[in-house]
Amino acid sequence: MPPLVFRSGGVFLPAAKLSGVKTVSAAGRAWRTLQRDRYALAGGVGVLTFIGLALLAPYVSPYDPNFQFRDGLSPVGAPVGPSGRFLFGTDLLGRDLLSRVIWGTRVSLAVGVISTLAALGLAIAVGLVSGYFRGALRTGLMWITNAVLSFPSLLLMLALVSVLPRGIWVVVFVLSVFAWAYPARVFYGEVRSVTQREFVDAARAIGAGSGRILARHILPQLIPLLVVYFTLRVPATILAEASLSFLGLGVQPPTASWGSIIYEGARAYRSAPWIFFFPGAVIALAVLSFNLLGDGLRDAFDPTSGARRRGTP
Amino acid sequence: MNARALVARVAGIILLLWFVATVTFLLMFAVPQDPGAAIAGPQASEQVTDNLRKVLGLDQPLYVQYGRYLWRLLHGDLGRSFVFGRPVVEMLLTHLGPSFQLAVACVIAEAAIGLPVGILSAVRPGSRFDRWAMVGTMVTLGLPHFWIGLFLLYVVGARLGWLPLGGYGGVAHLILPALAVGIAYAGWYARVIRSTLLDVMTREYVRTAWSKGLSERQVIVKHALRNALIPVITMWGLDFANFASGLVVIEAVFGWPGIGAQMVEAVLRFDVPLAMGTVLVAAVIVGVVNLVLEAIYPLLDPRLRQT
Repeated sequence: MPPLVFRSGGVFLPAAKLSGVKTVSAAGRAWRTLQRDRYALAGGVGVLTFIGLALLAPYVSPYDPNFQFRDGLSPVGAPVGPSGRFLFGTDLLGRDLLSRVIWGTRVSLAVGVISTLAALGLAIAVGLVSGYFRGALRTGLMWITNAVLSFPSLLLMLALVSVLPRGIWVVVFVLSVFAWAYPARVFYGEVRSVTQREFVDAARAIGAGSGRILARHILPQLIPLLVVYFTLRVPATILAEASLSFLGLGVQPPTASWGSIIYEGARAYRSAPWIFFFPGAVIALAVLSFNLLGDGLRDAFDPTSGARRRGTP
Repeated sequence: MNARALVARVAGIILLLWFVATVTFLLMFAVPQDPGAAIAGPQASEQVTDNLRKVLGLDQPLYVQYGRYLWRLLHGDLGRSFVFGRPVVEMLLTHLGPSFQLAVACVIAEAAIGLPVGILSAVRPGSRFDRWAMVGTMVTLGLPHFWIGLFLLYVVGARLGWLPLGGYGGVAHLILPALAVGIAYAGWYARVIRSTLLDVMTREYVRTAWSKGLSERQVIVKHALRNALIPVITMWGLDFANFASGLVVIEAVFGWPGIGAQMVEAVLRFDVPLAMGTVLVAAVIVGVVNLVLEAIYPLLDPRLRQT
């Protein structure tokens, strides 16, 4: 902790800032580590590409994803394979597969990101409350968290989906309901350890209430963990959405997500293997990108993690 | 694990089961959809639907239905399937066998692919093999397992014609689904065994083994690997529990008559007792496997015995 110097307006600033000495924040240090990590950078480029594809789908996709081309089906009504006109081939209804995959990026990514955000919001709340307060609240919340973790989650997801109307928002809801427990336990551990630190005692000593301590002193400490978990949970959620959609219980036609395109393609996997092949390969690329970036972020924020050696992902 | 701890753990599992039972019960009944109408079908007259509700006890208030449900549960009765009219327990038992077979095949495939890769990586960390293997695990961990399944079905089943195109049968029918799951999750095994081995290799007893003049093979197999395998056993157990309680998507791809396939059918046909029963049995499997895992840790790791 650099010495603090009093400044007018009652603000304390680190002396280093006034003397012009360069200080490096934790975020700055993490960013520098990240820049040296080739795998994380590749992952970051991949993630940005997918976000770009999702945002710019109307401009990037060669055709309307729902237009049924007359030459998109062979004379006997079978989908046509990859060609110059249809790069990924066409689907069972003669629609351009590439365009559908690009538009599907929107749905898959949006579902992945929104569900993860919702789940992490819940996880943060549970983690803060159960990590900071002792007693029955902690015991109860952690019991529920562990109970949710030990559920056969896909089966319960199916049970939940079965009783709700089908649609994107239901998918988002169901995915978030089961995705919060694991990060909640991680946040809980972190909050417990942060609560032991001196600055929390200091804040309490000058009369800060629990709410203020949680929001101003403990929550900021969780941000690196939050960023890492966000990056690592999005791909897991994308895979879960693909599973639900693959069972026909996720995103409903004519909307396309990567999983729902595979679901449609599975019916014709022998005669038109490109329909299931391309969206699956794209899922793999997206998940890989997020995971590489997430692993890189984890190493960058926590130099002591030592989970991997230099040069290996 | 002493008797006291065992009782506490079993009580915990029973509490968990009650929780799962209540959650699934509420899910199935406290939602806007009317199960009576769903079972009777869209063409059924009002009278038929009403009769059906009476016969199935759906006309009773929620707490009465809940009470009856728990009471029957205590007697091992999961009710009758709405759609098939057969006892749920009996239906689940017929699907349990295939599910267990598939789960065993899948955990074997995972370990058979993942462990050798991870061990070879750890023996030469930073080598070309290590780097490519770790990139490979990153890629395979991103692949949806049902996509690998479709791919294998297409290449090995349809194009090469070496193995059956799904369905239930002998060992030949097991290979492709197990391989699909194995490839998808082997990456975890490779990564975990690699990092624990690298960690174990720095321990003193491994240094002692080296200094005794043992060969690399002896050090790794007899001293390092035995300890590094402990976390793998945990993963194995958890995966087995998860797989046995329903490899839903893989079973759908390969037409394997397991618990997962039954769940999908129950969900699509709104067969409430069947769906609830399936979820409960899955929870039992997960709970029991966890209990067994905890019981066998001290047998595997003498360091845990004192506590």
